[in-house]
Amino acid sequence: MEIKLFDSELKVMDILWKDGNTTAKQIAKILKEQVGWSKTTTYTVIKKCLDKGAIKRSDPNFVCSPLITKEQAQELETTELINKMYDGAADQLVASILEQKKLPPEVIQRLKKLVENLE
Amino acid sequence: MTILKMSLSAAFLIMTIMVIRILALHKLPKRTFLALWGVVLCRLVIPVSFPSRFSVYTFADILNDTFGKTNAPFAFPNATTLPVAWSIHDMASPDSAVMSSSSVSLVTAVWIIGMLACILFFLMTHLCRLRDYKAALPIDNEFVKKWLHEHPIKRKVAIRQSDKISAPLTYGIFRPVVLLPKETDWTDGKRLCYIFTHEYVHIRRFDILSKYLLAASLCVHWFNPFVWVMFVLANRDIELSCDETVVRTFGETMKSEYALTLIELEEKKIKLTPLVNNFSKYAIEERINAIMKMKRTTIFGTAMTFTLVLVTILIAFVTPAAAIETDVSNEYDIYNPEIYYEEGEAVFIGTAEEQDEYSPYDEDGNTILVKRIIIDEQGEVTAVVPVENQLSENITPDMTTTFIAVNGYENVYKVSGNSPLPYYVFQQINIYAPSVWVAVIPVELQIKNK
Repeated sequence: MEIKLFDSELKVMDILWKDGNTTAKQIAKILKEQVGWSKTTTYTVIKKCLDKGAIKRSDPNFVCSPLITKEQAQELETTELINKMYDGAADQLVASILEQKKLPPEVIQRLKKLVENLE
Repeated sequence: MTILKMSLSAAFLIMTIMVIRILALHKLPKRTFLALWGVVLCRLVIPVSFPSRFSVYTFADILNDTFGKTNAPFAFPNATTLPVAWSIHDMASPDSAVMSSSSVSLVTAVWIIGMLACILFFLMTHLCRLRDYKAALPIDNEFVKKWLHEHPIKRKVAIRQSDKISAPLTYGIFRPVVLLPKETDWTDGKRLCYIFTHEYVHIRRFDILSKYLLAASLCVHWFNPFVWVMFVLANRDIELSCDETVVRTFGETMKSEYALTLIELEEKKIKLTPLVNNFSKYAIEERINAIMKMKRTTIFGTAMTFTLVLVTILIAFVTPAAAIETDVSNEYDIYNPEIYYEEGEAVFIGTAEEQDEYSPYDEDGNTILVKRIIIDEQGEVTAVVPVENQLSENITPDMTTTFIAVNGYENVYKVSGNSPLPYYVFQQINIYAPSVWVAVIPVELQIKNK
């Protein structure tokens, strides 16, 4: 089974692959030092991993154990998340609804020409 | 001013700016438009106009208008001061006033629900994005180190990367974070410089804050399509102005390179995005055009900017005041004596003092009863005493006490006649703030005898 993971999720998985079963609290502590995430952020990412079935939670103490190996984890390619994504700040969403943001190739060509011509 | 009035005058401004933008986008410094949108933002959120009859009362009225109509029952501050012998009649009967106030509250309710929905929408999407952004990973390479070292800003800037975005962006007001897409090409120093400079200009100018303000005003004025247009255009203009600064920083010779950098960023996006359609004019096209057509700022341009901004401020904050004045004459019809009598009807119109002196008799010595319309020094009606409410004996008030009602008008009179007992003619008393009916004092609540 292969699971596609974001970089942030891979960061959590890395710890589990390296150290084996780890409590969520410990993961949060490690990641705080490593990448400066807040506890909330780490827990959010852990939850994503749980939802994707990449890790398993056992209580007490919220111990996380990996369900997949490093080989089974795939980097998610950005292509796959596009439909629900929009770029820029969140409040740009409205702008992206009201105006077309994705450029077809011919427009790109036209823009490049424009730059040449105006130079 | 009501939200609606603010929205209307803002709509007019937005239309004007749209026209200026179409005509002179490439001719004026882009900051002009930011300043103009700033004026509109003020118009959208500040419920005051200058010059206006500014007093505590108008302020109270503004509050009233802004936060919905109140029909608070009015109690006389001092029950021993006996209220009036006059009844104040007006065109709007209490019933119809109640009706209109309930329809007003329906409108207010719809407005508030829409506003909450908008706030919820923005907040939810924004918080979701922020959650993703926060899970970005730090970048630790030579370029970033060097950049941070060479471009100190008072606030601590973090530079991170994420695989969830496809174009660079900045978020955070107090602790700004520049977020770069994972596939950023770290070998192309020049392009990176452009991108970083662009994001740094955003940070230095607190553009995020402007965007929040725009979103907030959109939430309040969600019912106004022009505000939506403004939201989109102002967001674009923030980018255009930022581009302008970047080009000025590096010198105009790099215009094309910078433009191509932007196009390439767009190109990357396409690879990632399925095409949807292509009907509209693209914001990026406008942006590229703006960059390529950028000229040195001329004195003329600067002068134009100042003039435009000044004129807009004047339009924004002075015309509505004039509009208020006209409104006064319309809305304040109830203060116009003319509406209280029919043509040909015998009436007396005068101030309270004048009416004290007024007591006409016929040949037989009987009092002639006519409708009395009491006005104040400004000629505004404070009380109407219909014939039915008058006694046929000669009422010459021997005492007239006035006190200031809540609305600041001296429209409450205590009167006693020259008969053995003082008497009071009571009917309903309506108290008006300048534009809102605020209280009814029915007969039962009035004190009849001292």
